[in-house]
Amino acid sequence: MEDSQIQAAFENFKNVLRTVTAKSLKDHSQMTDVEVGEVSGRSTCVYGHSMALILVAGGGIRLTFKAHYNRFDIEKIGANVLKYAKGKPIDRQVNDYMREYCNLSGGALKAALTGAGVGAGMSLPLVTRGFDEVFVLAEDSMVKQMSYVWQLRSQGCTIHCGVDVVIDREEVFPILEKLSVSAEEKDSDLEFL
Amino acid sequence: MAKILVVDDSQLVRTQLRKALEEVKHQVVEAENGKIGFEAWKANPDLKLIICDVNMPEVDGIGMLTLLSEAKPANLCPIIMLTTESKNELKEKGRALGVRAWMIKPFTPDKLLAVLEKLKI
Repeated sequence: MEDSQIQAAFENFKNVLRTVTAKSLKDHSQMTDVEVGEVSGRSTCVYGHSMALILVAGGGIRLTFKAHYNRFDIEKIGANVLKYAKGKPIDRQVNDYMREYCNLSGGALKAALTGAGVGAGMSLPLVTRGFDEVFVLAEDSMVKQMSYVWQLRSQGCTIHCGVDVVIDREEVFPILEKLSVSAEEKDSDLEFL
Repeated sequence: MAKILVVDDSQLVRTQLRKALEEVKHQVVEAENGKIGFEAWKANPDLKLIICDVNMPEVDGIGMLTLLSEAKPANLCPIIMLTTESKNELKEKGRALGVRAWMIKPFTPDKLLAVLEKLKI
């Protein structure tokens, strides 16, 4: 496969990542003003005190989605939702909020990949120290890999999102190049069985 | 007013569901995974509805539905799955185990209450 085709696939996938994670944050925080920003650093930098992460894998693709955050940012970003907590939100509630955010973003990514024919599964989300990022290394392998970091900004606060993607099969690249998601709510979010 | 079991490993989601349901005078029982959810179901024979996540530690949502099915209740109350999962295979499995509605997270209180109305809860 040509390098230019691989790059085109990764560039489109980055677009999908930004769209999906921004929409997930808007829905999860019940806010409309979420901006996406670019970051020039590597995905293996430590961007926050805490990190929520989830693994989506299967069908020739493995990715770890990470959301780096600081507690005081999430108290503001999640204010519409964390107001349900009694008094000032405690660490456990902030971490639960971010764990659920990872769950939503991972679920949306998985649904996009599954809809495009890449059968992927998802782990349970996990929250750990931001410093643990240095242990999440993209593995050396014969296949292509991508690391990418972007920002989600709202209410003057920032979440740094990162992803490490490993592609095991070349057939995945044309799928990633054509992958698309909608930023709008879908009727398929509810089905009577 | 109905007694509703809410099963999700996220306390935030359970709190959001509790708020939405108590707002319209329903009574809520919470469980943080399928194993505790099954125990809560056994302890509350007057439940009118179960709202359940899929991906949970220890016993997941499908695991809990399997336990409910194996208990062979005379009348199992309606079940709504509230999850990030959308695979058709899972929905089919859920339908076979008594799931009546499949909602993708995040939910809004309006949408949730509309589903309850449709299920006549």
